[in-house]
Amino acid sequence: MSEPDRSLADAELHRLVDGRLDTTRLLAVEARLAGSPEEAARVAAYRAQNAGLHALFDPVLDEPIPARLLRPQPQASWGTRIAAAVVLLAIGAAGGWFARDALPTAPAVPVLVERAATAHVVYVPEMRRPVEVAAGEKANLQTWLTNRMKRPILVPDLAAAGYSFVGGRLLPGERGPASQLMYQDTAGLRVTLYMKGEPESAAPAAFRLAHAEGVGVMHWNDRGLGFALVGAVEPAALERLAHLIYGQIQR
Amino acid sequence: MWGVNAVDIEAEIPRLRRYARALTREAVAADDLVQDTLERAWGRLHLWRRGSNLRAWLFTILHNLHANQVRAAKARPELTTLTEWEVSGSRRPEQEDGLKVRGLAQALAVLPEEQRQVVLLGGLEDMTYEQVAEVLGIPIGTVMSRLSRGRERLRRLLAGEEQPVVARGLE
Repeated sequence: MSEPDRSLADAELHRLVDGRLDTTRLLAVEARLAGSPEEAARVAAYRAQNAGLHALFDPVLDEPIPARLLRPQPQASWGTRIAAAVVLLAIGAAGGWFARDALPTAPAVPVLVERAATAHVVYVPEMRRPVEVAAGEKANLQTWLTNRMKRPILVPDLAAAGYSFVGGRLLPGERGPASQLMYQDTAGLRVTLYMKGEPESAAPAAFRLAHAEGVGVMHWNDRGLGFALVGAVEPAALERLAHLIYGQIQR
Repeated sequence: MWGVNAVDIEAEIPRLRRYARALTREAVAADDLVQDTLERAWGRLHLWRRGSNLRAWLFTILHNLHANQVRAAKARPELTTLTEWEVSGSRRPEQEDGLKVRGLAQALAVLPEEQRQVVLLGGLEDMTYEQVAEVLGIPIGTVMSRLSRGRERLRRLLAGEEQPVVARGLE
């Protein structure tokens, strides 16, 4: 048998094993195997391999899916979000601790993400006092946050993406102040931008997506500031907003 | 807003986990890979063409991420102290003698990555050879030759016709 013939014949054996032959070829190949014990033995061995792979790995299909792989439910009602925030305040650190305990080797959620997500779910449901300083005093807010954070803090304009500025507040970070800016779209859906000081790392800005407290968080570092954009919106939408913010802060 | 995609992607998670487990042979690393895959998929859902094969698309993302990780691991030189090197070097002959492939799992681990991928995608994930070619970004002829070499190698290992050579100190 020539080399091309051999590989054609070989390919047909694999098609037989994987059930990829039409009836005509199936009958022809089976007839060939009847006269070729060597090929028949290989087919049996390959079939046993496939069966063995299923025996080895199919149990994974029945395992419960780890929570970290499940997407948080987006677009929760305001009631659900308030309830979530209350539960979060109640179990706060304990919940986080146990969750981490259950997944000892899961990569830790960055502090930035954790704090930004918590601040988001705590303040976003507020109807009367969602912010400390309202959008009307934007200039004062920028000056105040810049002075307290000891870094230039600019309020990005997200109107191009359909979000208007609601206002902002100063929050405690882990070792100093942090800022939260809030935006909402015409339907009242809110996103927040959380900023806190980070070590001036040499790493270039890279957008990373995380999930915490049931919301999506797009985060990045830029010249000594950590940014975390939080919202119960599609990751693609978060990413668009993050690019808009990044572009304005670069200028 | 999410339409049917969220449910569809979630339905693929068990199969992504099974393949990642078989590919990496390590449960936590496998789930890390699936998590990265899902995050990337969510971020790029707008790039997925409705009507095209969602499973093949997700497996392609997973494969690309895994390839990046493998490349990154290769690019990073291992830090080996002289003592460790000597210890592993002196143990090598003994390990080679004692190492017998007793089961499919061990035999699978001996296969080169590129053969393991096609053996798993075709034999475990039940993909057509065309889908395997698409997922791995290789011609179908290459799929067939890797499948052929991979399965034959497994057969010989399991039949005891071949002893694996694992040079641990040199990996």
